[in-house]
Amino acid sequence: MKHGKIQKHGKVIEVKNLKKFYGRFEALKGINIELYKGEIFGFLGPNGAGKTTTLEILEGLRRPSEGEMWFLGEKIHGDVPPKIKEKIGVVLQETRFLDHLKVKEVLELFASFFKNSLGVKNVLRTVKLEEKENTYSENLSGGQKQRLAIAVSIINDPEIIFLDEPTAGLDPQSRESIWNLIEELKSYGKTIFLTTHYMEEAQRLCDRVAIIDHGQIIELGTPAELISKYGGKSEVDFECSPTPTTVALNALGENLIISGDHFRIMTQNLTKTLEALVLWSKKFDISLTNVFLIEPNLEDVFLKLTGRGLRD
Amino acid sequence: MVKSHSQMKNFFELVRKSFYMFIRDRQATIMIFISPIVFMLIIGFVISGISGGTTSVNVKVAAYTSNSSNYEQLFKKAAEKSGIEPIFVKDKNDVKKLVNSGKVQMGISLESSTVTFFYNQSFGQYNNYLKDLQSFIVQAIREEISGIPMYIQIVPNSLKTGSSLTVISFIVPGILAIAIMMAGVFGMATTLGTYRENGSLKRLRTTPLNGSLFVFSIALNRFWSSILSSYITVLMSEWIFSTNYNINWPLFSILMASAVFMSLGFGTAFSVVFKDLWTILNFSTIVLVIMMLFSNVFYPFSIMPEYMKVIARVMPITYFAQGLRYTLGIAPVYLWKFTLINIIFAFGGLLMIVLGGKAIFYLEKR
Ligand SMILES: Nc1ncnc2c1ncn2[C@@H]1O[C@H](COP(=O)(O)OP(=O)(O)OP(=O)(O)O)[C@@H](O)[C@H]1O
Ligand SMILES: [Mg+2]
Repeated sequence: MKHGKIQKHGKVIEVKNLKKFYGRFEALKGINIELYKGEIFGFLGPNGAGKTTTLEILEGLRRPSEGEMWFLGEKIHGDVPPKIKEKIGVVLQETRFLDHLKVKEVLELFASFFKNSLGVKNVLRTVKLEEKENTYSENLSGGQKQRLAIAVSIINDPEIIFLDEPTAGLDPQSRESIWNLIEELKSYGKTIFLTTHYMEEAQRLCDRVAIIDHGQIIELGTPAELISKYGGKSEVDFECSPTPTTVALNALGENLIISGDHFRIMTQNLTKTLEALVLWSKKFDISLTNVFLIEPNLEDVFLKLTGRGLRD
Repeated sequence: MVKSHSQMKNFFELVRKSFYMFIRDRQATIMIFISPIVFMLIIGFVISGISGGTTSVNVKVAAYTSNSSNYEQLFKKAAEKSGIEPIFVKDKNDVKKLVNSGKVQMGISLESSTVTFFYNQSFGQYNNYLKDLQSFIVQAIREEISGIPMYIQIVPNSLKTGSSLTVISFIVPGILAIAIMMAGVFGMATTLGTYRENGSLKRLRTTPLNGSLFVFSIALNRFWSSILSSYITVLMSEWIFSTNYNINWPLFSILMASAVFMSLGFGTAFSVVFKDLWTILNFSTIVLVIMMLFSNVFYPFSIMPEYMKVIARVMPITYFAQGLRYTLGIAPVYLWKFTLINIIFAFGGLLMIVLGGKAIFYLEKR
C-alpha cells in the first residue's frame, strides 16, 4: 500500500499484557502493542472487540485489571498522571461538549486546561471550522461536531492522539474530509492511535493495523502485509456481448467462474489478467461491459481469521 | 510563581465559561430566580389563609423584681440582652393582672431564687415565640448572675416591645431557607448529573483539569445567583406580606453565603453518591421534604414533640432557618452560635464541593 515501512524508533506507547475484567467478563485478554512516533496505528475489529476499552485505559478513563503501560518511555503506575495528559489528545467514541458554549469558546475552555496551546484560530483553520466559530456546539452537524472533537483533541499540541471510531456514522463526504484531516495530523508528526470497524479506513490511513476480536489481537502488521498473507485472490468481474463461444471461454483459462451471463476471473496478478482480458476481447471481437475489479482487503483478512465479517 | 499565575488565569477562564453556560441556559437560570419567590408566594398565601397569619400582635412583656435584691439591675441587663424592654411594675400581682387582662403577652417575675414566667394562654400560637424568648431570657439571667461576661453585641436589638410577630413573618424565613437549599441542591445535582450523563464529564476527565476546580466553578455561578434570588425573595415578602422585618443585611448576606455553599455542597455530594440523574433528583426531593417537615421551617421548636426535636436538631435547615430569623430580627440567637453555624455551613459546603469534585472525576473510573 502507499505507506512504506515505518522506522521503529521512538516508542511512544508500549502496552504489555493488558487485561480488563468487567465483573467476570474478560473484555481484554492480554493486549500487547507498541506505537512508534509519527505512525498511524489502527485497531480494526467488530463491535464489542475491546477497542474502546483499550483506548480508554490508555486515556486514563478506565482502570486496567492487569498489565503494564509506558508513555514516552515512562512507566505508568496507577492513574495516568496530568503530565501525560498534557501530551495526549482524545476523541471519544461519542462526544458531547458542554452545552451553551460556542465553538470557539469550547476550544478556549479546553485550551485553558493545558499548559500548551496551539491557539484557537490555528486549530479552527486546521479543521476548517472558522466559519462556525460562533455557532453553539450543540447546533453543529454530525461531521462538523466530529471536526470540533478533533480540534479539541489537538488544541494542546499533543504528541499522541487517540481517535475512537472517528468517522462512524458519517456520510462519505464528511468521512473523506476527516481522513484528510487525520493525514494532515500525521504530517505534523503526531502519533495517532485510531479504532475503526471500517476496513477502508484502516487500509487508507493506517501504517500498521492490529486486528482485534474478543479482547485479543489476532494479527498485526501493515495493511499490505496482512492482505498478502490472508487476503487471497483479486477478481475481475465482467459481462460481455455477444455471448462468447466455448473456444473463446476456454481461452480465458481455468480461473474463470461463470454464472449466467456474468463472468469472474480469480487472479493473483490483476494487471496481467486485465491486459489479457483486453487482448482477448479484441481477438474474439467481444465488447466488455460492467467491468469490476475486486481487490482483496482487510475485510477478507478478518473473514479468513475469524470466519465472520467485520460487521456481523 | 509563573505556574500559579497561569492556573489563576485558567480558573478565571473556567469560571467565565461556566458563567456563559449558566446564563445561556435560560430556563434553568429563570427557575433559580423565581422558584424561591413562587414557593414563598404559594405557601405564604396558603398559610396566611388558614391561620389569618397576617394579622399582627404586639409583644409586650411586664416584669417584677423583688426589692430586696440587686435583681432589678441584673434583670434590666438581661432583658436588654434579650432585646426586650419590659414594663417594670412594683407589685408581683400587677404582672399577673397585666397578663390576664391581655395587656401584655408575657410576664416575668424575678425573686431571690426563682424566675416565674406568666403567659396568657389565649394567645395560642404566639406563645411559641414567647417560649423561645423565655429560654433566651433564662439563659441571659443565668449568665448574668454567675458573672460570666456575655456577648452583649450579639443580642438582637430588633425584638423590641411593640414589634409585631405574625405567623407569616415566622414562616417566610423557613420557606426562604428551604427554597434556597432546594435551588442549591437541585441546581448542582442536575448540572453534574447531566454532565455525567451526556458524557461531557468524561471528556473533561481526559484533560489535566482538576475536578474540584471544575465543580467549584459551577458552584460559584450558582452561588451569586442564589444570593441574589434570596434578596429578591425577602424584599418581595416584605412587600407582599408586609412582614416588616428588621433586616440586618450584612449578617443576612453572610448567612446566605454560607448556607448556599452548604446546599451546593450537598448537591455535589448527592451526585457523587448516586450515579443516575433521576436517582439524584428523587433522593434530593426526599431529603428536602424530610428537612422541610422535620424542622422549624413551618413551626417553632417549642411546639415540637420530643422525638421531632431530636430529628430537627440534626437538620442543617433548622439552623439555617433559625439564623435567618435572627438576621431578619424576629428571633434571638447568640452571636457565637450564629458564627458557628456560618463556619460549619461554609466549611462543610466547601469541603463537600472540593472533595466531591475530586470524587466525581475519580470514581467515574471503572
Ligand atoms: N462498563 C462496562 N461494563 C461491563 N461490560 C463492558 C463495559 N464496557 C464495555 N464492556 C464490554 O466489553 C466488551 C468490549 O467493549 P468495547 O466498548 O471496548 O468494544 P468496542 O470494540 O469498542 O466495540 P464498538 O465497536 O461497538 O465500539 C463488550 O463486550 C462490552 O459489552
Ligand atoms: Mg468502541
